Amino acid sequence: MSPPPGAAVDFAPPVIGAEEIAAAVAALESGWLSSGPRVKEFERAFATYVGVDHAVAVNSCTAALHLSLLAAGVGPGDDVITTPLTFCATANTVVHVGATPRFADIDSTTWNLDPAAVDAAITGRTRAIIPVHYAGRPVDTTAFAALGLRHDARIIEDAAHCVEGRSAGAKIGGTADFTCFSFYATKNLTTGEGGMLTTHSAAWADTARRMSLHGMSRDGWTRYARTGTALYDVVTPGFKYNMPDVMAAIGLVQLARLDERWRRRDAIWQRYDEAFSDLPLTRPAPVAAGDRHARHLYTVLVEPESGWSRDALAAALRESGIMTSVHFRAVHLFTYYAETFGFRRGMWPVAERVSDCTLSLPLSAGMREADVDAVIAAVRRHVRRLR
Amino acid sequence: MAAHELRVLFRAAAGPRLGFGHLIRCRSLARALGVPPLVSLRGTARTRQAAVRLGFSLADDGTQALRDGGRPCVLVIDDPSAEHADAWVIRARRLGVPVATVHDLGLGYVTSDLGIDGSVRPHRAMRDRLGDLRGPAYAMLDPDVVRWRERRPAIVEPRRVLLALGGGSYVFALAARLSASLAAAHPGLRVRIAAGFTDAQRLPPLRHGEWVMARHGLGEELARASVAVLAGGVTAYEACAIGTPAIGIALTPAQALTIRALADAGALRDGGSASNPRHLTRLAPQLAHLLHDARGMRRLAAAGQALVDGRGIFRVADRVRELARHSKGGRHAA
Ligand SMILES: Cc1ncc(COP(=O)(O)O)c(C=O)c1O
Repeated sequence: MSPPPGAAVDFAPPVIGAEEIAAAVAALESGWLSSGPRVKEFERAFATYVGVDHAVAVNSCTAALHLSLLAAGVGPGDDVITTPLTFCATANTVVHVGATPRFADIDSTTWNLDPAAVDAAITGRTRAIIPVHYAGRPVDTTAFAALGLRHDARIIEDAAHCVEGRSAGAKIGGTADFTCFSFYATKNLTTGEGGMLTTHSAAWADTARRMSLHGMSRDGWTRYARTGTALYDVVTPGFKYNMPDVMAAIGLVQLARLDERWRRRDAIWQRYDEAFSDLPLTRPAPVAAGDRHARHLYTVLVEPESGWSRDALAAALRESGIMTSVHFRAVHLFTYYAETFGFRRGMWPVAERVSDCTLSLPLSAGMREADVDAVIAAVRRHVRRLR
Repeated sequence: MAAHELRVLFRAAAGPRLGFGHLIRCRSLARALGVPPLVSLRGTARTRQAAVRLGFSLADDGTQALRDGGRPCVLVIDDPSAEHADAWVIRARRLGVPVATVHDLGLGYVTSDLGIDGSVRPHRAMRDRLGDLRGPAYAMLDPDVVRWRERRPAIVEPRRVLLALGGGSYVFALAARLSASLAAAHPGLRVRIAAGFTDAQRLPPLRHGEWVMARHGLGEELARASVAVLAGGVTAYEACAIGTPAIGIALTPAQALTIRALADAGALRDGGSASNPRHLTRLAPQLAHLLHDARGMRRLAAAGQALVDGRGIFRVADRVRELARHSKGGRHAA
């Protein structure tokens, strides 16, 4: 079946199938709409998938990052080092807890935070490091764990892109002090909005859980259960970050279908890699042995040698009905960060080059073969035209 | 597309001889799609009553159901007779209605816009047709099977056996006889016998075991049973998906093929054929052996679950929905 002529290929169409719809309907009909049994089940299933003892479901990855920083005791006077090549939320949450975001440059082939650069940037004020598994490629988790131990800094992995990832054989989610996942609409596992925090520590999980629900000592499910009591205490003023049961119901199905959908994206990835091998675009680097790339974003670098600027190629593709995106504009170049912390262009040059040239092509398990054909044909046609 | 915009017409064959597997499969798909089960039935008046009891609305059994104001977005045919199925494919195509056809082991194979054969050994003709859905990843089971698969570890009961040999009345005598021999061989065994879809009043009294009326599917019964004895229909796949160790005993040659294929995959024990008295006599000791072989039961369950994940019905539903979405405007209008 071919798509109607002129039809757009969306950037990352979510894969919400009959099973997710049935699960959401069942949750709606259950009479329990807020966090309840399905959230508990989702947390258990997610913890099992990742191989950790504790998973705390929240309403975004941003919330998970915020709670991790709080549980790690990061606050005013502390520094947190992360990558400039990330979504603003990674750095924003550092500001939310009153700490100062610091950056280190990325590796020029993996586009991930470079442990050596982080090492050089660590000071006595560094309390935490947030490596981001950019586009789904696992960072060198062993190197970061070693850095954390050596400098007594907490490692908080931003795994918004990397739910299926493995680093040196180990499942992402259990390789750091805290790991934060996103279930945003475009993500590999989506609940529309949502997130998960995983950790090996019961104490940190408890703190995160309490802070995710107003700082209350008991959640709603326990308070309204037949055997429960409505009494609770508030030990700190927390936030309202809990995940509703309807979202967890969708998440449970998405989790069960995760590897099947990863295989589909992996196949699309291989097709792109082959189809663009003779074009003057920098493709994602091969995956290190023992690692599993989560295949979240297929990003190419559109450098001047291709004859195109990234934005011009994106516009040409849009004209052809192919929607693309940019991951990311380097965070330190945004007005708030430049003005507040004095960050300037030139400080982290590798991240800036990727920020200027990176273009994310459509990638989703919901793409039909004809969509993949359309993307490949359009990219090839445009890039070769200007050579 | 919202579920209420999606109008699906099912065309299925059922009856005391054919059994109700095709009809039940349509109901499962309707549930996975979130649409009302509207069927044009090939079967007798009594079968039509049974279909209504199963929750179906009956559409005209002529082509009128394809026309009118109620023109469906998709026609789903589940009929093992190629001749009957083909006639409906042709009519639907003339009217511009896309067609999905459901097959087992290639029985009643016809070409349509979407062929589905969820059996372990799909039909050869389907192996090279691009876009067709084949293999147990597309086995069309009760949508609740996934839930029972997850709950089984918490609810399985020792020494509980389920006999599920199909929905036709011809199995009554066989089931009664089997339950008696099982009970004689293992006192203390709790034997539950699926009664199919007949009237409860018409069930013969049992000396051993209990009848189970499972209008809403056998998921729970399978999940609670330590072992099941099954024919080679949809229930055999459901046992695999749920992880219930099972022995297959074939009532038809097609079921023998399925049982053999599942047994080859290590997902089921082959109990032979119900028409062979030696096989029937062997069944009680075979079951006893399995009940005492914890490792063997675990292996069967693991192989079954690996082969059939129970989500095929949703994969099929997604493709049927896609078929409806992309053929608006009558791609096949003559
Ligand atoms: C790297 C990274 N971190 C964090 C987030 C924030 O995720 P959420 O929208 O779930 O808060 C995103 C979202 O796009 C992201 O890409």
